This record gives sequence, structure tokens and C-alpha cells, in this order.
Amino acid sequence: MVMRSQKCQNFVSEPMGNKPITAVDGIDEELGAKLAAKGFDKAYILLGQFLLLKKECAAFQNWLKSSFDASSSEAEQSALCLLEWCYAFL
Amino acid sequence: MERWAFVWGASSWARWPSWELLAAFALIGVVGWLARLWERRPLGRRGRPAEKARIASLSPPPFSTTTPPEEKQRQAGLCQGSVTMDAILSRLKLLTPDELREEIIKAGQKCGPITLTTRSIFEKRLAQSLLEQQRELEAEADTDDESGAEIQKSSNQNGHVSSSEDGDFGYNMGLNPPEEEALMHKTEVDSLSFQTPSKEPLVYYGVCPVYDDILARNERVHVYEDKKEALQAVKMIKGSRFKAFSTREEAEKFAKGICDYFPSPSKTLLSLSPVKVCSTVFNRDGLCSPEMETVSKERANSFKSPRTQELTAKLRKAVERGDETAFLELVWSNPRYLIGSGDNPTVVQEGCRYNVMHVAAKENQPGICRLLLNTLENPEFMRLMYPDDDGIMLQNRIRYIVDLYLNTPDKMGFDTPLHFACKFGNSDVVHILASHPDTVKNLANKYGQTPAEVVCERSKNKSAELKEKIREYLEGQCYVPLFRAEDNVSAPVIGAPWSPDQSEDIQHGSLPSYVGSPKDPVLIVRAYAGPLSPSKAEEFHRIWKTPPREKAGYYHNLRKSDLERGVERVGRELAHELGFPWVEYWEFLGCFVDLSSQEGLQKLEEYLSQQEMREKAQQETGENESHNRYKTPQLSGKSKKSYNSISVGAFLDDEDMSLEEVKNRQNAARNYSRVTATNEPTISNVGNLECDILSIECTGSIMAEVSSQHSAKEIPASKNGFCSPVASGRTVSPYRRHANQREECLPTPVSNLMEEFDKLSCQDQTVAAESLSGKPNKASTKKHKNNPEESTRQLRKCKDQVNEAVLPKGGTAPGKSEDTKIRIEGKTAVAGGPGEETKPSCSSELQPEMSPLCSLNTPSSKEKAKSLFLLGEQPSKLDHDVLTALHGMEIDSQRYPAVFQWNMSVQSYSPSDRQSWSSPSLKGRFKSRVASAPSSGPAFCSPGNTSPTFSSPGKYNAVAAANLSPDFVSPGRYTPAYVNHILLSKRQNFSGPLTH
Repeated sequence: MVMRSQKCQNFVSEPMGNKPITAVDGIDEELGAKLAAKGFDKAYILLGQFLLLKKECAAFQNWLKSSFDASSSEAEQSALCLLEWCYAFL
Repeated sequence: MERWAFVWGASSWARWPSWELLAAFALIGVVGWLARLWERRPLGRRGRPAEKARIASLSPPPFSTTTPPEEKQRQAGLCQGSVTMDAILSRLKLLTPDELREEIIKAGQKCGPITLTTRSIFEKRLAQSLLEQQRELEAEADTDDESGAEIQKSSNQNGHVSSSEDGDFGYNMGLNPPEEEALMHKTEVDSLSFQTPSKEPLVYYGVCPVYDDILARNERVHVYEDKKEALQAVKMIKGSRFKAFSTREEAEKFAKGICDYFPSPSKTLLSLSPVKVCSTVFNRDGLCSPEMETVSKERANSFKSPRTQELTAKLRKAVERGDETAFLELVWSNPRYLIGSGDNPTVVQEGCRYNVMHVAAKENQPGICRLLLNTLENPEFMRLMYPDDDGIMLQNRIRYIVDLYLNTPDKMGFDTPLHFACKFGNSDVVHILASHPDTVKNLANKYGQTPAEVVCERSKNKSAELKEKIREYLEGQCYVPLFRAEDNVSAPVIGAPWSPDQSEDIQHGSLPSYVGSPKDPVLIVRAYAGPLSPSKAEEFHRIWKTPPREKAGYYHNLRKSDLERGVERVGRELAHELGFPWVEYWEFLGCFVDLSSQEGLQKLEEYLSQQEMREKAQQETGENESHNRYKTPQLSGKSKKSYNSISVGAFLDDEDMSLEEVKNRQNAARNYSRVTATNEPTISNVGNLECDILSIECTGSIMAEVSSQHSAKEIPASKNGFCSPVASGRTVSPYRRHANQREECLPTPVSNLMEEFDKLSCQDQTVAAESLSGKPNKASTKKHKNNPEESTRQLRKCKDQVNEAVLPKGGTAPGKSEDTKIRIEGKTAVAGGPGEETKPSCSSELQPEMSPLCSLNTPSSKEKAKSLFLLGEQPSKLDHDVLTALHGMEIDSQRYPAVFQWNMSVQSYSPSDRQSWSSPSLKGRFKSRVASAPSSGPAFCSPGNTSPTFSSPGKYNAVAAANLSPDFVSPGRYTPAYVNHILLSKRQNFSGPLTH
């Protein structure tokens, strides 16, 4: 279990609005650029993908790792972050 | 048709070579299908949806050149448009996601992630845009292109669908749509029916249709034993409601709408009967009644509470954009946008339950914050919401909701608006929030952090300076005020640091001499430094009272030498030295402002240009008159001259004029004046003037009369104006009337004087032109400017020694040519002339000395146009004060032309001269001791007073201190300026009866 970071806290504490993809916990500039190149330039688009994968963290992590070469910790963090956001707002 | 197909084939051939085969097929097919094309059309249309569905399906049909020919034929033959669409689509299907993305971007569309689910949508959108592009290229193609129509149609359908969806939301509902209401009741009834023992059909459901629906009333009585039936009936009759009863009679009664009837919330506006709740029917009424009561109470204002969509979509968007007009419009159209049920702030962001203040703080919209607070604190707004409440109740409500708006935490992180503003480093918002006395500045959020602890947490790239600023704002804001008695009879008092946070009593304690006899002079805030943090304020207060040792002498001197603004000057210099914000009150501007700030300069510029406009307008009328008068009795040559001199005068005060024009005019002027100089002896001119003395003296006496009348009226007026705002309002009108009177008299003296101006300026021109004739034009312009200044300086000397004999002085000026001598004396007369006009209060003393002078010479128009000072044509102490306030400021002659010009003209005087300028307010008081308002002083002196912008003395005070007109916002609401107003109004109530 990854500790909830400050970034995650910040992300979960607010509606995501038009936040960029890098606002999601676990997604740094590098990974964010990769995602943005594929069209995932906003946090809500990533959320969309997460929801399409039925909020399954494992599936989402796999997807991140396979398509964007994300590290497993990055994938885990972002999945957790989105999941928490969903708990709070959905 | 063939030709078209060929063209299409060729073009597509060129663009997509892979499609050559199909295109060839199409060409062949077209021949065969030509005859049957029209019969096939409807079929094609029918076939399309199926086709589309097939395309849209996730598994793309593998494309190969071996597609069954009949399929291709069908594709080609149905209609060309559909073929192209399909063609494009299937081409796109072959692309890899990256290629597809490139294509999409090339087509100028936005591209999201291409996944299994989104791909088909992107493909379709791209295909459509490609198709449209193509169609544009083929402009000559048939207009009734079927696919086009098809697309149009489908898009229309879409549009229709979406609008109907919108329409579904738009039903005319109150708090809940009827279904929900019914459900609510249903659940309640359910629970009831569980409770009741089931022997018989114990529960009767009465369904009451809408009261005013007569048809429904005439129908049979809706009483059901089965709940389902009842529900069905409810659904059938729109707006109806149902209720469970233990006896059939009651249910019938209810169904007939005889008693226990209350209308559905959505129909309240239509309903006729008052809302009454029957308390006897089951315990659930106990549950309902408070709700109903509040509903009925809130109904008093007939505003509907906005739906969530409206709140989030309209209001929040407006706040996020910072669209203040939209915000105001929305909010004033329905106060429920801000005031939710139970006087709670409305939630504009579901989920985390943000209210407007949260959003504004988060999005850095200080304007909205201010507007929101102002709106909420406006009793009118609350009145809109609760028309029946009395004032105290409204105040309570206002306090309640403002408190909630300021301090409500959100749902997620328990962050207050102040937290948000701090977190995101929105210093302006912090400033506004922190300056509100009701803001709690140390609330902890979910993680136990106070706003001060989260400063700039979310925006790391903000400067440390900003962080410091925010911290300072949070510390609290103190002001160091300076109080003066309104008539300056007692010494000014430097008040202790004052903060709007302090409670009422402390506030009063910190304002000295509030408690005291009503005879004490009313102290009002004249200047203040701030906002500052408490410690800084304390320090500033100390320094201000006892300046640092090394400079003590200097400051002491400043304070003592200038009774009216000495303390202000000390404070100003100290504040500027320390970099603290500083503002003081300027009567002529009517507001608190720091003149050395950009804002202050702007205000000054506005004021000066306004004054100039006024002056110009006056002069123009004068010019015209003098023109007419001149032309008839005098020689043509003279009239020419006068014209010329006027034009010179005009150009001097017209700054927009291009340099070339100025040159031209000047050349012309020089020529003319030279002619004058050679042809005409000055003495004859003077002789000519002789005949005008009488008229001038006449006007002088008229003016004196008017002025004495005027001041007589003015004294009681200002006295009244002082005591109560109502009185001042009334006294404004007499003054105005009087002003009109004055204006009526003015034309005569002005026109008379104008003649003299013209003559004299001819002479002036002569001298100036002669002395300058050899020099380049530019230099001459400068000289021109300097000339009058020089002479006015001389005039000042003359005037200072007004007790001595003026004539001898003028006559004994040695070593000067006759022309110059006359000019000097002329200037003295100028001073006398306008002095009469502008300063009625002192005119009586000056007049005796002036009349002999008048015989010798008369004022020049050039002079008049040139010397525009703050209070008319004469420099006064105010000019000096303002100059010192501007001290050290670079005045941009481009941005502030009028200020620049004024600055030049004032600085042309020597410092000692400047210091000897008399204070306008002193003069004002000289005649009318009783008139205590200092602002009545300037009013006496300035001739421009008659214009509406600078209307009356009494009003001035009222606007600045008592009314706090809406545009008076610059120092902020919770500054001493505001308190001043409170204090003053209290004071007025207090002392009103005594002075009346």
C-alpha cells in the first residue's frame, strides 16, 4: 500500500475541473507527456479510461504499464488516486 | 451524371490510389444503375441506418480487393455521397491509431485518446469533415447531394434529440418534480401502511387534483383503496397530490379539495387558497408541517429556487470567469441564487459542496468576492428575499449568511474560502477576505492546518514576497488614522492603530473624542496609512507621533509651518519612506487617494482636464460675444487683431493641437502683432480702454453684491448641511439656484473683460513677438509659456504688498520699457479681475486698490487661458500642497498631459512664493466663521463651481463622508474611511436635534 502523498491529497480534495494530467498522483512530467501525446492530456480523460476499465485498479495499472511504460509504483499511485477521487465524488 | 461520376472518380483516384478498383467498378456500375437510380433512392435511405450501424460496429470488416462485387456495386450505386462516406470510413479503419491521430489533427480537429471505444467516433467525425472538405472542393456538384441531405438530416435529428432532452429538464417545477414528490409520499405511506394493522382496507387514498382545474373537480372523486391505483391516478392528473386517510369521508373531502388542501409547490403562483396544513391526519403531518411552513414563508418573495443545473452551470461559470455583470444580473434577478434554503449559502459545486465564495477564492476572482460581499450586505438584496422582514431581522439574516459565506468549510478538506485563497496564493482575495471583520482567520481544515499554514501550498512558483504579503494580510490589517476637526479648530489627532476586526466598543474607544460634549468639534478621518500589519502599524504610529531624532527638527518644522496639511505631510513622507500605503483626503477630488500613486495621478488628471474643458467652454462663449461686440463698433483692423490674439490664447490652452498648427498660428500672431506694434502707440490703446472702466467697475460692484448675497446664503446652508444629510440635500438646491444666478450675471463681465483681454494680449504679443522674432519657433513656444508665468510672479509681488500703494510701484518700475510696465500693472489688474470673479469673499478688500489699476490696464486672455490651477485661475495653497504630495514623482507628459502642464506652471513659481499662497479654506472662513466645513472654502473660491461635476460645497462633504456613493470604493470597505462614515452618521443622529 502506497502512502497517500500530498499530491494525492490535493487531487482528491477538489473537483478535478480542467486539471492537467500531471495533477494525478503518480504521473510525472515525463509520463504525462507520453500520455498527452496519445490524447490523454487532461486528468478527466484519464479518469474516463479508468472508468471504462470499470474502476479496476489492476486493469488500469496494466494498461498504464503496457501502453505507456509506466513503472508499477506510478501505475499504482495513479490508480489509487483516481479511485479515491471516485470515492469522494462519484 | 456520368460526367459527375467521372469527375469524382478522377479526383478520388488521384487522392486515394488504393481505391482505383472500386472507382472503376463505380464507373461501370453507374451506367447500369442510371435508369433505376430514382426508384432506388428511398430504398437507399432506408438502407442507410443499417449501413451505418455496420460501420459503427467495433469489428472493422476486413478490407480486401476481393470484396464481393455486388456489395461494391451497391455501395457505389446507392448514392455517391454515401459511397464516399463509406469509402473514407473504411480507409480510416485501416490506419493505426497514430496515423489516425495525425489525420485528425491535420483536419483541424481535437484529438482525444484513441481507444477501442473512442476510435469509431473519431473515425466518423473525421470522415464527415473530410467529406465536407471534399464537397467544398466540388462546388459544382449537385446541390441536392443526397448524402449531404442525409447528413444534414441526421444532424438535425441529433439536434432535435438533444433539445428535447433539455426540454425534459425544463419542466416547470418547484422544489421537486411531481414524481419525486409522489415517491416521497409513497414511502411515507408505505411506512404507515406497515404500521397500521391490516384488518380491512384501512387506508384510503384521496387524490386531489389541482384546485383551479375545474374539469378535474367535476370528475368523480378520486378515492382509492389500492395505492397503485392512486398512484396511477396521480400520474394521470398532472399536478395532483394524494394522501392516505383512515376514513373514506376524509379521503373524499381531501379529494374534493374542500379541506386540508395545499397546492403542489409548482403551482403556488396559480393557487388561490392559502396554505394550511391539517395536523390531525397521521403523524406524518408533523414531519411535513415545518417544511411546509418554511416553504410558505419563503414563498413571500415568489422567487423560485434555481435548479442545481442553473447553479452549477450559470452561476459557477460566471464566477469562474469572473464575469461580474453576469453574476450581478443573475443574482439580482433571483436572490435565491445566493441564499439557499434556511439562509444557507447555495452549493454551486456538488460533491465537495463549494459555495460561490469557495469558487471565487479558488479561481482568484477578487472582483467577485468583493461583489458577493457587497451584494449580501446590501439590505436591498435581503429585502428582495424577505420583503416582509423588519430591519433588525434583515440585519441578523445578513450577518448570518455573510458569516456562512466567509467561514463555511467545504466537504472534502474542510477548507474555508480563506484556505483556498491562501493555498493558491491569490493575494487579492486574501486581502478582501481577511479585511472582513467576520472572517475567522484561524479555522483548521481536515489536516489541522490554519490558512496561514497553507499559504501558497498549491502554487509553489509564487514569490516569497507574495507569501509574505499574504501572511501580512492574515495577521490582520491595521490603519493609522489622522483625525482633524472639520473646521480645523482643534489640533489634529493621530489616532491609535485601528483595525476593522475590533469589536464595536473598542472601535469607538479608539476614535478619540467620540464620547464628549456635542459641542466638541466633529473629528473626521483626513488621512490614514494602511493597511498594515499590527506591528507595523504600531511602529508607524510611534514614528509619526515622534519622528526619529535625526529628522525631528525637519518634521517639527513641517508640522508647525503648515497648519492644514503639516501632519499629513509628515505622515506622507514617513509612509513613502517606509513603503507603506498612504492615502489622504483631497476635497477637490472628493476622495481618499494617494496622489503620488498612478491612481492618484489619474484622478488629478481627470480633474484638471475637466476643469480645463469647463474653462474652455466658458471662454468660447466669451469669445463669441466679444467677437460680435467688437466687429460692429470697431475698425476692421482691430477686429482682426483681436481675433488673432484670441486664437493665440486658444492655442495655448489647447494641447491636442499639432505642433505645426501651433507654429502657423504663432507666425501669424507675430506678424500681426508686429504690425500693431509699429502702427499703434500703446497709449492710445490705454486711452481706448478708459471708456471701459466704468463697465468694469460696474461689474465689480455687481459681483461684490452677488458675492455678499451668496455668502449670506451660504453660511446657513453649510451649517445645515453639516448637521443632517437631509438638510444638506435641501441646501444644495438653493446653492444651485444661486449658482445659476451667478452664471446669469457672468456673461456681462466676462464679455466686457474679454474685450480688454484682447486688447491687452495684442500688446503682450507685441512684446513677446519682438523679443522672440529672431529665435526658432520652438523656443518661442516655450517663451510664450514662460511669459505669463513670469508676469504673474511679478503680479504676486505686487499683490503681496497690496497695502502699499500699488500705483507708485507700478509706475516706478525702473529700467523697463513702457510696454512692460503696462504689462506688469496689467497683471496686477488681472489678479484683481479674476479675483473679483473667483473670490467674492475677499473681493471687497481688494476692490479699492483695483479700480485705479483697472483704468490703466486689463487682463489678458492669454493669461487666463494659461493659468489653470486647481482652484481656478489663481494659484492657491492647494496647488502647493498637491505639488508637495506629488513630490518626486515623474509625471509622464504623454499619459498625464494636464497634470504635466499644471506641474510646470506651478513649479515656475519660486518655493517662497508658493508658500505665501493663501489657503483657500482660510479665505472661505475669513468671511464666514460659522461655516465650518473646510470644503466650503474651496467652493467659495473656484469659479468652476457652477458645473454639475463639482456641484456644491455641502454636497461634497456629504458624498465623501456620509453617503459613501457606490463609486467610492477605492480604499475598501473596511478602512477608516468607511468607519468615518459610520461615525459621522451616528454623530449626526446624536447631535442633530441640538443644532437644529
